[in-house]
Parts: sequence; structure tokens; C-alpha cells
Amino acid sequence: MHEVSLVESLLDQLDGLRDRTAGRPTATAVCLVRVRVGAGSGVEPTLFRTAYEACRGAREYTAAKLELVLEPERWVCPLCQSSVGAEGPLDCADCDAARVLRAGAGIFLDRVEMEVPDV
Amino acid sequence: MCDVCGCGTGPKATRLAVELHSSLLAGNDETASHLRAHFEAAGLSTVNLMGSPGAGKTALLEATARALGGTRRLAAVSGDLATENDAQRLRRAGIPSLAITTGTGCHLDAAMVHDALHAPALAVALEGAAFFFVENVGNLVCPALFDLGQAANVVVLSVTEGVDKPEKYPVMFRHADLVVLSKADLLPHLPEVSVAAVEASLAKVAPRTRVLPLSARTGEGVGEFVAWLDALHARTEAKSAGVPARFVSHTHPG
Repeated sequence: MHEVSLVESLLDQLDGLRDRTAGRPTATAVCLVRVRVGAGSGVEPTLFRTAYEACRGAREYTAAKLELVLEPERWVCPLCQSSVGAEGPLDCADCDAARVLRAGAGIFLDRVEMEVPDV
Repeated sequence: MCDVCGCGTGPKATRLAVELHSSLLAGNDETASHLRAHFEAAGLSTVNLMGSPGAGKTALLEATARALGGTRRLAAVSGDLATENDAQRLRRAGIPSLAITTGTGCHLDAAMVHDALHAPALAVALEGAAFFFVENVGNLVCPALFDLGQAANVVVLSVTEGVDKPEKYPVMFRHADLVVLSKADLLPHLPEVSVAAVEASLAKVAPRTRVLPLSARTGEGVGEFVAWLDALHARTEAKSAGVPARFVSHTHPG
């Protein structure tokens, strides 16, 4: 399942973040991870959480709580900018143009909260 | 804080929040952009071929090679969890091919394709080639998420899989530039299946995508598929105008 690949990518990004502490010491723990999952991304949130629980221990992110935020699909006509949800129609009848998926297509790491030692 | 006895002494810590909004596919997309730049510079039309196991992806490429009769140079990689069977079939059909065995992996990603392209045998085959086919792991779900640097996606759906597959697997079919309805020679034996029914299902998730009925066995539709490939290649050549049409070998640090 591709959710495992995406969790590995998430954990790689977290590894790279522990030094991004605005001049403070390296983070000692990651407390919270917020991920935005698009409804049209092809990612199943339940499976993503399962993969996260299975993989995070090996990377020492056992304390990091995962928050998943679901983002609905938004299809926009490139000509008149009218938008619809996943229910469609995906063609804009007024403009005879295909609507484009502008939101809800991807999966994003939105926010990380880390514990950083005081100096 | 002290985590030995819970006395509350020891170094204090502050919780720091970082806002990112970074795609979890960013690493793959970066490698895919690298591949696409090479493909376009070389005038190489790369097609990501996706579909269920047994849909007829390999047979489509074999039929394509037969129809082209050596008039265009082709190369391919073939993704499967195990065996080199499909790559061997393609080589027998005259398409220099390399197998990518994924073990338990359910899709190809850009790094796998990139590694394959650095294999000497494939690098030689790509010199002067017009088309590079990436036959993805048989799966209607996972491969759709991973950009491989391709110029186009072709989804192969066989007539025996059910006419409502586009609605059941919308993410895959939304990514398709062309849907090949394979094993079309079986249609007379399947009264419940029709091209119109597949088109109606596809229209609900990808209203502008064409369905091309094709039989690798009888040759029906293969000429139209070749014409579609040639139109794709004309667009690729237009992008690479003025650049010598050869695949550029290169090395990477590390």
C-alpha cells in the first residue's frame, strides 16, 4: 500500500526538521504532526494512520501524535472560476471546459510541534 | 524534565511549532522533474502504462512493436513484484527492456525509474529512441500517485474487468490521458459489456478522456494507438526542437 511510502516520506521530513529550531538546540522530541489529506489524493486516512503507527517506532517518533485533517475536493473551471465539489459536474457547461482539481488532490505536512530544550 | 523519578527538576523545554504545508510527495516529484527534463531534452516520449494485473499492458506493447515494425526505436521498463517475465516478453518482441522488481512494493516511483535508467543496457537502448514505456506494477490504486516524469499516462482496462471501473477507481482514471479498452475481441461474448457503458462510467470522473477499444490479438485499434503515440511524439519533438535527439548520459554525486 502506498500509504507506507508516504509515511516514510513524512518521517524523512521530520528527520530534517529537528534542526530547524530558529537558533535553539536540536529538538529532543516531536510532539505533534498535522497532515492534510485530500479527499481526491488517493490516500486512505485510516490506512495512513495504520502505516504511521507501524513505522514511527523505528524512527523514534513514538511520542508524536498524528492529527489528520481531511480536505474536500474543489474543482474549478479555468475560464469562469466556478467551482464544484466531488459530486461534479466536472465539465463546466457554461464554458464547455473541463474543471481542474484545485484542492483536495494532495497530501501535505502542514504543522509540526517539537520540544526544544531551553538555553 | 527529569524522567527518572518525576521530581520536576532538570532542563526545561519549550514547545516550538513549525508551519510547513509541504507535500509528502515532494521528494518523488523532484526526481520526476529531473527525469522529465532529460526526457524532453532527448526528444524521448515517455508513457506511463498502468492497469490491473492481467489487463494486457505487456500485450499492448508487443502489439505496438509489431505494428511499428522497427520504424521507431522503443525501450521499456517493466514493474512487477517478482520475476523478469514481462521484460523478457518485451525483449522477444524487439523492445529493449529492463525489469524493475519491487519485492512487496505496489507501485513504481521516480527513484526506481531513475535507477533503471542508469543501467548500462537501458542507457544504450535509449540513445535515439522515440518512445520509452514504463509498464507500471499491475494495480489500479497506488501507481496513480507517483509522477515518473512521463509525458502521458495510459490506463489499460480489459473488457472483462467490469464497465464501472472508472467510477470505482476515480483517482487512477482521472490521471489517464488515454484509456485503452483491451481484449476488445471478447466483446461479442460479453453482452453486458459495451464501449458506451465504459465511456459513460469514465465520463463521470474524467469527462474529456478518450476510450480506445483495442485487441492485441486481432490488431483492432492498434493503428489508432500508434497514431496517438505519434501525435504525442510530435508534441515531444516540438518541445525539444533544436536539441540533438539523444539521451544524455550523466552521473550523480554520491
